[in-house]
Amino acid sequence: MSRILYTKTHEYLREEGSEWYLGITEHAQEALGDITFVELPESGAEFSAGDEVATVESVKAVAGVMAPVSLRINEINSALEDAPEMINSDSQGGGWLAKVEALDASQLDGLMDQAAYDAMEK
Amino acid sequence: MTFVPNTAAQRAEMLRQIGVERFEDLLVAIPPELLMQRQLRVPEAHGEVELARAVEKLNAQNLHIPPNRVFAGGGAYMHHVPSVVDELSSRGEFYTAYTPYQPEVSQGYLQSIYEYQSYICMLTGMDISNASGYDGATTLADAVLMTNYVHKGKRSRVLFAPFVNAEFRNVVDTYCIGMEMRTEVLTASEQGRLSPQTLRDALSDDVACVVFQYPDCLGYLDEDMEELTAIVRESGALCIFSFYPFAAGLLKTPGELGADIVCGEAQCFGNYVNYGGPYCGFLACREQFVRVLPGRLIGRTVCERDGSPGMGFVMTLQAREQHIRRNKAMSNICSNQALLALRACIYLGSVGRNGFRQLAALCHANAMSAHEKLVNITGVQDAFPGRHFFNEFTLRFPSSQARQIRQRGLEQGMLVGIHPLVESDGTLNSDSNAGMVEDCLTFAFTEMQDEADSDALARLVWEVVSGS
Amino acid sequence: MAANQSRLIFEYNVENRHGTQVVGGMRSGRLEDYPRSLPQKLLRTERLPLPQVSELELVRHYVRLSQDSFGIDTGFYPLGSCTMKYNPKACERYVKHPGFANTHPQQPIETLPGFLAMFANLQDWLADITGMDRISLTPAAGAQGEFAGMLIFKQYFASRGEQQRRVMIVPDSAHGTNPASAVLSGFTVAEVKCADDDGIMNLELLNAVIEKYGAETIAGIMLTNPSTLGTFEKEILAVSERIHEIGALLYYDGANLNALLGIARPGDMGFDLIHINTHKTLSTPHGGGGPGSGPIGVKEHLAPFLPHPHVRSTENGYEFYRPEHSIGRMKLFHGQFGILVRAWIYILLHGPEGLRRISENAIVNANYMQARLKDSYPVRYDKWADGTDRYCMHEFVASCGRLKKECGVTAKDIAKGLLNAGFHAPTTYFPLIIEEALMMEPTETESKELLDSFIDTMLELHRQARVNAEALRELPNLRIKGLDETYAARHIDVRWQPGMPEGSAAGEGM
Repeated sequence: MSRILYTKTHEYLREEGSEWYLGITEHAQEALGDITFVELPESGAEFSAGDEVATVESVKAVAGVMAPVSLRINEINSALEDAPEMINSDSQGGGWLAKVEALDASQLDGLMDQAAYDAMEK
Repeated sequence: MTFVPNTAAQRAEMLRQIGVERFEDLLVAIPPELLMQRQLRVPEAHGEVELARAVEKLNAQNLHIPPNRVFAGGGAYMHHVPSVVDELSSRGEFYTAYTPYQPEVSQGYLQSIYEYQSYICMLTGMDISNASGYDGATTLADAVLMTNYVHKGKRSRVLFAPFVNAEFRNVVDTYCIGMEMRTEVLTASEQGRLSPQTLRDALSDDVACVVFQYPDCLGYLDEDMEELTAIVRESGALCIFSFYPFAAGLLKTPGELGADIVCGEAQCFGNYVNYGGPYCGFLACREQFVRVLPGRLIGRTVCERDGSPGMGFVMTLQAREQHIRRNKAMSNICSNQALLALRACIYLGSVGRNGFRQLAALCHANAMSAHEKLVNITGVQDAFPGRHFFNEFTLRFPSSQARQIRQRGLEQGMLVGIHPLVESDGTLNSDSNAGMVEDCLTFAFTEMQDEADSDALARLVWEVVSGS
Repeated sequence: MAANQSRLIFEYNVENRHGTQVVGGMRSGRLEDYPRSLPQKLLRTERLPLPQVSELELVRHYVRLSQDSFGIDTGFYPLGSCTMKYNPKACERYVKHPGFANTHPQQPIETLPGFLAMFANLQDWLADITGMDRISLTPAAGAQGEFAGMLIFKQYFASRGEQQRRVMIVPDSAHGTNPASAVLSGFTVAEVKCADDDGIMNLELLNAVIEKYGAETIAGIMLTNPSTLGTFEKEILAVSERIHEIGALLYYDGANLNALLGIARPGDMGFDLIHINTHKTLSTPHGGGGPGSGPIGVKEHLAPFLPHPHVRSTENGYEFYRPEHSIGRMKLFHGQFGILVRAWIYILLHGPEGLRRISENAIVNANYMQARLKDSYPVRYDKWADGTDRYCMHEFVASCGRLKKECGVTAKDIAKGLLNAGFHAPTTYFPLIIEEALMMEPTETESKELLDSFIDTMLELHRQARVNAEALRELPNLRIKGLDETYAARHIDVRWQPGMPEGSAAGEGM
């Protein structure tokens, strides 16, 4: 099973092979409601942990997506530009925002695992 | 006078139910030293009789110039307001509504703004129009800030083509303080144009946009606009047009000429000149810039109508706006000019396709006719001979006579031209092109004038110039 | 004729049907020649798709649209923070005077002493009402007043060599325009969470934020008083003293000034700069979202930075001038003139006693509603820390949080239920710090009988919510409902174009 790490601000990083997928959690998409627009970063851009990487808009809300760790964007999910609703239907699968590379792997240790995130949710 | 309906007895009963004895008990949270101990210093209450008298007294102090004797524009145009515009727009349901936050009970207003947006797109050749802004200058400033966001803050220079109205430019300058964008005015050629070479030399990868006024503030039209906008586009900068939309009755739209963003003033459509406000700034852009377009947008959507599926209207893409984005919003705009937009809408529907074209042609015809009369006066010249114009043009007079002409006009109850460098409050503006129009006046014409009016104007100018 | 109620004016088009005739045939006959004087290159090639409709069709269309709209003239409009009070008809009648309506803004001000005197009157009156030294009438709306104010702060600090003051403190209950205006002016926003305390700003919260950012970086604080919760910021004197002590400035958002006419003045509270929403407090009509007008007021030390043009008195009257360090022009010409005329008339109609009566009755009406509703719709901050009752000022914020927990009925459901009952809804989901917020501002121009019928409806909706929530959502009286905002955002249709099938939405292809 692939490793998934979470932030307190409801982003996830999912490891698949040598890559990390960045997205917002099921809880986050539910809180936002129907998502209508996603603003994605440019490929190759680098962000420090805590920087705003992307924004996700619903009809009545807008949420910034923070970099869980310092990272570089390798690829963005351009399918979201036409179908942002994929974040609602499959936030932790097809609704990923970007494939990223962690610039400082040690920062990953500061994130929560599934159990810790579930505990926070309760 | 008061519009408070509750009687003293009702108020006492309400205070009792609230659980206090006196009104002042409700103010316990206010530190006592802040409570006012005296009455406000404003005049004693007027009834309607005294009010009517005060309004008459105020207006009696002023010089009244009949609408057909106003030969001036400069951002505000004296067009006729059809009766139907006043009648319909004063209906209380429109007049006293607020922002249509509850679409179920605001379909009418929402639809009228959707219609307004459609009209603005037609007239400008753009894809998306917002629901209106404060005026033509603030929407120009909004347009300039939009280009800052399009370029993600990486381009900070703003170039003005020669002869963009100084008052508009000054508003842009104010808006640029916060974003630290810098504005520059490009130098005009001898014909008062922007030469392609001057434009090329000024462009670089830090230019966010080039602002054109069309027609320019002297009234002139540039036949080579497409060439200029192509040069701008090549550099990666955006083209903004500040546009007088009445000209759309005859002329190609800015969209056809290569504009990316078009803004201007819809005052000319059924809104009084009102000594400068409130007006109705329009702002429209190509589809790809919709995310950075400030202000409200009304969209059509699906709904349930009388129990069946139907169409309706809502405020849309609100997540761009300040009430949701707060400190991440690209603009702080909250109110707009809906009532004036509604009037513009009624106006355009009332005159219709043929009427609008006819009116635009008449404005142009009146300007052509007056121009002929004026340039035939010895000593009077075109500021830039051979240039084409729509309803406004600029003439050059022998030294210092421009001022005298204006003064003589006021004495005879006419507003004769405006000095291209002087703001409406009398402040003198100067830029690198100022020397070219020093002894000039810019005249504007609408459907309000007839031959007798332009004859009176020509006579007055002749009297001053010939020293009679 | 209920067949197609959303039919657009463009869809009535009939080729060559005549609309309103603005000019007579004798003047338009010779026009066909004229465009030929312009080069073909400049002329439009396609005809504009403006509709061709008769004046009667136009009248019926817009009368129908008006009937599908809701204004103060239609019914009760308790939209919190918007001050939806009666707009006196006298303001409308007299502003139409041709002396106002037909004066061109390029007419030299020397020929218009009446207008200068009116500007000067209004500046003086607003200064007295707010306790400020100077008023500038030019900003176009409240949000533009805020923007002007923030730019004045910025230029004031620049003139003192204190460019490092870039942090603007904004409480979490603030209007969205506050942080947006601050950022637009180049400041960064420090949001203070007042919600966890008792909802208002106090010295402890203020000191924490000052310590966090450093006193020398703080430019100022933006406050609305009464706050958006409808409570008076009772620590305001301590807050203003502290802000001034660190060399920063206070900004007053005048959205809620309707609570304070003749009662208390922001100038006396220590505010350095304020804006006034004339369309709220001075009842210039809202017109479906505008025009507004947002005069600003300053204390003397900020006067040199006021927008251009400003009016001052001279030996023989008044004149326009450019303040020494003016931030520049905010808009074209001389402010929202027609709106300022209405404000001038409104003040004349009321006089000093009438103005105070406005605020007194606005406060009584709001407290009466709060007292009768708070058992069903709890008010989060209804007691002070010492346990004493907390009265509201001109508005209050009730919550459907408990109702939502009990039976799933939200603030939105109650709002729509009110629409169904013929009232406008309160402001919903604002301020953000109140769960399921309903922000209610009855204003002074509503009668007790009207308030009672509204309150009874609210209580009935509350009862219904708990008995049969589904029935409450049926909304039988609303002909149009279920407007799909998600669909609108995903299928952007914001204009009609020629050739569009009637009643269609772009992206649907129906």
